Amino acid sequence: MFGSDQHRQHISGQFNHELETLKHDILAMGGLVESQLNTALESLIERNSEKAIRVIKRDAEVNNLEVKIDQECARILARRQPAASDLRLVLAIIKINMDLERVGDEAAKIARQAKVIIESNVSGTQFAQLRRMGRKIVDSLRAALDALARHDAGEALLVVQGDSSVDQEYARSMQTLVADMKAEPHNISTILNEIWALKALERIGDHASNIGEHIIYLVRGQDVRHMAPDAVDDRLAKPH
Amino acid sequence: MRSSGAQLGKSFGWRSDDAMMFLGAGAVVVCLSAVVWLVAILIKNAETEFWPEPVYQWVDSSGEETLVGQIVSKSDLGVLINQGWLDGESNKLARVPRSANLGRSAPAELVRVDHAALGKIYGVWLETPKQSFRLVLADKTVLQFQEGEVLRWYRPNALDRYESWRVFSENIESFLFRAPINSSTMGGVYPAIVGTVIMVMLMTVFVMPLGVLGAVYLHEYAAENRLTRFVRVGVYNLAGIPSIVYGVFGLGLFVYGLGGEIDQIWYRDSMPAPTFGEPGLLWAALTLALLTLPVVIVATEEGLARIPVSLREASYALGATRAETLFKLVLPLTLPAMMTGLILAIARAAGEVAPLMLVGVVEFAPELPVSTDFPYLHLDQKFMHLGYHIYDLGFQSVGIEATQSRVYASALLLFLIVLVLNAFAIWVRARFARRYKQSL
Amino acid sequence: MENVIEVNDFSLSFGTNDSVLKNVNLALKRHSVTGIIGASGSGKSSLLRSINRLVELHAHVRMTGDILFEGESIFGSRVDVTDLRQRIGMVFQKPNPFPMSIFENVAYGLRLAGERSMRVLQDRVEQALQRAALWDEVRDRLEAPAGILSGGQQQRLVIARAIAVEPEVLLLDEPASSLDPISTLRIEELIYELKSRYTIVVVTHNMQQAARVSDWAAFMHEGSIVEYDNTAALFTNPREARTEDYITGKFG
Repeated sequence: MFGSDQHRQHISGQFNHELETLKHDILAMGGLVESQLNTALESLIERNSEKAIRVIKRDAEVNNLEVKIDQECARILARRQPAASDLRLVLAIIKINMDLERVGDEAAKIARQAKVIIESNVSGTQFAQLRRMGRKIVDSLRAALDALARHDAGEALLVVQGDSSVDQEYARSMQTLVADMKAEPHNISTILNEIWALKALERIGDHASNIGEHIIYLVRGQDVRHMAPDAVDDRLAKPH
Repeated sequence: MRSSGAQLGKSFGWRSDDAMMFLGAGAVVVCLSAVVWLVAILIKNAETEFWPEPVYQWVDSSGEETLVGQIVSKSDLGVLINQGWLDGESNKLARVPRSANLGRSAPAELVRVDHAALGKIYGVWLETPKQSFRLVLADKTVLQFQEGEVLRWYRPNALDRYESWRVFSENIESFLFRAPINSSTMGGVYPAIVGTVIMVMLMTVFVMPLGVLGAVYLHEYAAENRLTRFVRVGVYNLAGIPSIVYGVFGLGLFVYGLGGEIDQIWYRDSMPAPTFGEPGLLWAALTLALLTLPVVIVATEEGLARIPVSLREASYALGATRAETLFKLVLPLTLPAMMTGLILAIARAAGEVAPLMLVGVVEFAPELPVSTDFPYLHLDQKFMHLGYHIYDLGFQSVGIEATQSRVYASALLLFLIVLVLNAFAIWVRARFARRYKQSL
Repeated sequence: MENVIEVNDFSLSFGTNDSVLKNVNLALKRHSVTGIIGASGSGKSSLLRSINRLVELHAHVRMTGDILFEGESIFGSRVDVTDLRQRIGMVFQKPNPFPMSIFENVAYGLRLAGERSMRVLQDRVEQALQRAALWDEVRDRLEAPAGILSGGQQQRLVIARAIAVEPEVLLLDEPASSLDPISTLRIEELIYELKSRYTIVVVTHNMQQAARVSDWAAFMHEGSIVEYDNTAALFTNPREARTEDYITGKFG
């Protein structure tokens, strides 16, 4: 499951089992949230209100899973006093859990925007910006979850570094949509919905980048949050 | 619900726990009764030595033959009596046959006179004493006494309660504090008491340092190798050697060997009369010290071994040297064990007779080994010893029956002395044990 | 000088057996608490006892390398071992107060050093007991035998006994392992308070205790030091795999 676990098993089989369960749950959370995002984007692009409703309803499941994972983490901290990599694992999962839940929230928001757009029955726009952004963001999230599954700091770093290009894409898309708003004032409300959906996507990108940072901490023990990209490179290049 | 049959079986059967308890209690009862019996016999037989006994008179039907005396023992043949001094013989014994029809009485006017040279004399005053001391004996002879000859006299059959107690306490006092007179038929055992106590103390002075230092070396400094084990086994085995062997050894090594050397070096002038080259107090004390040495060594080593290593480590960790740890921590803690060793040594030494016969004890010593003239403690003198006194009285003297009660009295006294010495040592041990209470 | 104690390439063995300590290198900083952790038999206690030369009580002990105390070798020819042990105090795993009164226990080391004045002794004993956080509990019964105290109190008494002679370094060999949890916490708190005066080394098999109590942590395995680092760093992100495995409970 968590691939290259070169370390041996814990002497406490119970503890081992608890950690495995935790890892399994967070990946399940990741998978759930990923599918939420995909479905939300699909509902928008295919104008499928059924899918949108499904996403909105399923958000409750995401929230429940977040609570469950948090409780597991608290229990492990209280009972096992984890140290070193185990400690970093739990801390990282707590934070990743939070980020994933927010991603779920944002996916639900996208679905709501989709619903409104569909109901307003405006046709014409192909949501070009949303598609482009959406692809990028989906890739980003997927990459982050992959890195988590494989404890791959290198891949996580790529996700972190890729966030700047996502930001650029977002800026461009916003510009285009604002221009569209000026050009088609009768479509303002629809375009506004698009803009909110885009905003949601941008935030998901941020969260994916956060997840990347947490993964780097988990694997390498380096806290690279809030650092400039070059500084991050330098930091990771140093041998501990 | 168990079947009643099984329950019944359990209550009737012996549980080994109960059996052990009863056996153990039984053994303790046997031991205690043996001790109680011992003391009771001693007291009973010693009593006649001190408590004023009635003196009886037997007159035959014709009124001619009169026997006067104190009862020594009764048997099927008749009654054995001690007639006192009679017909030139002290402590003359006679048997009053059962067959002869002799009337027994205890006349009030019978007098017992304790004479300085002749011992006990029974008779009747011719006239009131003070004017003249004339006594008529059973065989009608008359004795005349001078002032200083009569130590005391009393009427043994006419004593009231108060006078009985007075005589009793006089007897005890003279037994404890007077020298023996008249080949130990009268007087006391004072020199023997002094001799015994002095010898035991002297022995203690020798055996304690030797034993403690030996144990300290064996336990603290000697490496654990074959030689040490050999030495230790040797020491333990010393305890099993018969005491008479020690006496012979002491005679050879100390008396003739060392004593002879000392005489050669320091007492040439008085040669050929030996000073230290003959049995004496010093050699007796040394011989007994050797005899009891293994006991002290073993007891002290046991005490040393009981001190946990952690305490010593703590002492070293505070910057103590080995010697400091020894003196400030280990030895004070071992004191109770050392006292135990001392108690055992004293008990053994006070009771030994056989070796002492060879190395310093005599039946009668004219002077005490301690006196007021230099060197105050006379190590070269022979001395008297209570245990030897018992042996001598009981088996060497002529009239065994006459001295029987005295033998028991001496035995009782020896028993009490050892008891007192032990009690003292136990008290010392308890005081130190309380001060250094183990906190394990 | 920054390093109070330096262990340089120190090896230790008893008789013809394998080495108990293999090329140990360690530097202890002044007024710090250093925790030494490791599995049983990893040599932690032996290392501690080498520093105050208590290992020399064993027969057939062989040592190579050096240990410096304030820059000077403790094995120097002019070094007086008993003096060294006064400057480097030790507290053992099981409380071992002498079977004497509380006062005499604390005064033992002072008397060894030659102090005779009762006045001075009383002052120093009180001071030591106060620093060991025991004074209030025993001030009215200094003459009582030490055995009446509870385990935790006895351990604090033993600490008072060790600090009465004003050492510079305190070596604590599993000081709380025989105590109940509350007494353990009191001892740990005491260690924290003593840090300002002494340099402290604590050997413990309880990892959480080492994590709580020490500033610097050394992990020992089979006679050598695997890793030595700032405690927080060692417990969140150890460098060596063996350290990681031990701390997370994968072996030992």
